[in-house]
Amino acid sequence: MLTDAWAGRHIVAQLARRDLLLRSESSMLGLAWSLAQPLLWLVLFSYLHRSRVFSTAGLSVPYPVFAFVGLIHWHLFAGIIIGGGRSLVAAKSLIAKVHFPREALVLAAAIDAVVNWLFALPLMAALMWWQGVAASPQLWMLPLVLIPLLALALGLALIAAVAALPMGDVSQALPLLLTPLMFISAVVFPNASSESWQRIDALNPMVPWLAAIRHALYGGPAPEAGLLLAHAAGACAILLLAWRLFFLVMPRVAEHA
Amino acid sequence: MTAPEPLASVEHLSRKFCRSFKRSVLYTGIDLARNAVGLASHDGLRAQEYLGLDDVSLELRAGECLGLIGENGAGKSTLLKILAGIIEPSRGTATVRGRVGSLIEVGAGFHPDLTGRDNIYLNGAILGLSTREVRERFDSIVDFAAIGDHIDSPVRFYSSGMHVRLGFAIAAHVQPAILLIDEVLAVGDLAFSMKCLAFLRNYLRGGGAAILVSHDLVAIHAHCGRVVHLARGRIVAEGRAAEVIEGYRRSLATPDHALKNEIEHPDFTIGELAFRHHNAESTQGLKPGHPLTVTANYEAKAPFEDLVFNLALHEASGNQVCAFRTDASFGERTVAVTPGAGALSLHIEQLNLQPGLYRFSLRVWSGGHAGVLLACKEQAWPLVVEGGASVAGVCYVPARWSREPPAQ
Repeated sequence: MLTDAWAGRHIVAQLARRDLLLRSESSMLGLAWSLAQPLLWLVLFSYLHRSRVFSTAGLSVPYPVFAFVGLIHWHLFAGIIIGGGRSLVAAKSLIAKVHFPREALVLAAAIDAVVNWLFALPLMAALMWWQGVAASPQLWMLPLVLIPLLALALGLALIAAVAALPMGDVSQALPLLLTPLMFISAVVFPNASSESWQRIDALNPMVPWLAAIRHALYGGPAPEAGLLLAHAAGACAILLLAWRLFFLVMPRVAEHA
Repeated sequence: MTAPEPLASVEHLSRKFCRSFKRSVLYTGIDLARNAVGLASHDGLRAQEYLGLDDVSLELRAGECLGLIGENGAGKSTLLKILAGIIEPSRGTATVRGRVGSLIEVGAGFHPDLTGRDNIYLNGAILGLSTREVRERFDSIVDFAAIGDHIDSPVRFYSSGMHVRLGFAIAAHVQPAILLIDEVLAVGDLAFSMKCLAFLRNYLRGGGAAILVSHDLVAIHAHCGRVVHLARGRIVAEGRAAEVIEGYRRSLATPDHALKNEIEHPDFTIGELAFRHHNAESTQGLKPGHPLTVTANYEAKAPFEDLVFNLALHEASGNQVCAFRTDASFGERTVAVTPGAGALSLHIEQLNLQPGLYRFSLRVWSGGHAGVLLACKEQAWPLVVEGGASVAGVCYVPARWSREPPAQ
């Protein structure tokens, strides 16, 4: 399993390069397009916030900063899952003709989502500067927090990818499932602090991770370390299980491609 | 001295498929669950399952080109896919010592919006080359493909010929241990075909091995020393090219394969054809240039005044090779037929056809040849012309070679 994946590293590089080239050459807006989604949501939710549709009492930073940080990281998470889920179906004919490690396709789609995120970072920095929010001294924590997030996303992407190949509905169901999840993960507004919500929040890995990301970026309230570690362990476990499942199921599913 | 290790070996390979999609998902699920708890997958055939490959064993050694022939659905593609690693065996093993090069579908993964250059890197990586290896072989690939300056324009602007040439060029530079070739040599213009053949020859000489799948039996005979005949998933024959090809041709001539295209008439029924060759009732041993008598039986329920019989001969592909009309050589211009059973015989003095499979058609016209088609049976009777020399083309022309003394 590991030797296959290592052997496929060139394919990952080439596929990622292909996606980057295509994105910059073929679409009119090019790289700017990847920023459109989080910006659109930001504008919408800022307006909703202004109209007091939901309450954001007790935020340590102006709302746009809170929302944008949540949005670009949610897009990173969801982008890996949806892009990865789509990746095998998009390469159906390739899978049927050539033997190569299929994980490369999912990984390349994940890299695509990470590149999106990288492009959004300067914009986020500009927004923070404009709103007068200073970066916190715990910035170095950011990569640490991102690792379990990426691991979980990749694991879910692998499962989605191998399920989408025989069952086409999976690709369509994913955005449907992920969008409601966004609204209960403290992405664009903090969750209610009632007892029942706190229990739900404990199960949702994105809640402590987003809190940790905000803490690392501008010093928002830090989540419990224990909770963070628990979710990080869970993420790694899911990634390993998902990879194993992918490895076992892929050959059988590929026959039907 | 022990024989060198084979480059590829297939041992008791079986592969089952399921006819119904939903059932196959169910079976796959069951097998996965069994694997997860440590049990082996289900052995044997469940409902709707059938064997695409049944207990196939063969070996491929360095420098060898193995021909794989058989009808559609015999399991040739399945065998190639298992060797290429795209499908897993159900039972048995298939091992290759080294990389497998597939010339089956060249240009896999080409993205139309990327340039030829980018696609070379992408395709090369997919086929197993590292970025450095692609860079090293880049110039040679472009040279082989004869693409020239177009290498930097998007692939969507390439002609289909350029597409194939580029795909082939990349695949040719993967330097695999074995090559799997499926009819791809037939694509492209003559110059390219020759280049591919030269490449194949060099590759075999360099210690590679290849499996060639084709319906072009002449090509198989020309390039392959050993041939395997697959039918319904099993190896039916294996051995020297000439013998196996002959056997394959013979199997195509059995009644199973008679095509039944006929137009019937209530008062006139075309019967069977009978053959006579060298005073025997069968065509065993019929060689190019031999005489042959074909007798067409018929049964008429009414009298017909002016019939024209036309016995036509087709090659295996269906092209008509020649035809024998009664109004060309029969005593009377047309044939009169009385009610009852009857027969007409055609005497061919020298059947000048190359060895191969042919089929007879019989057409009967009423009112002269320009009249109405009364009845016909198209390509209903097979005929095998035997012989060793496998040459492309239909005609056998009697001739011989002689050695000339050196010019003074």
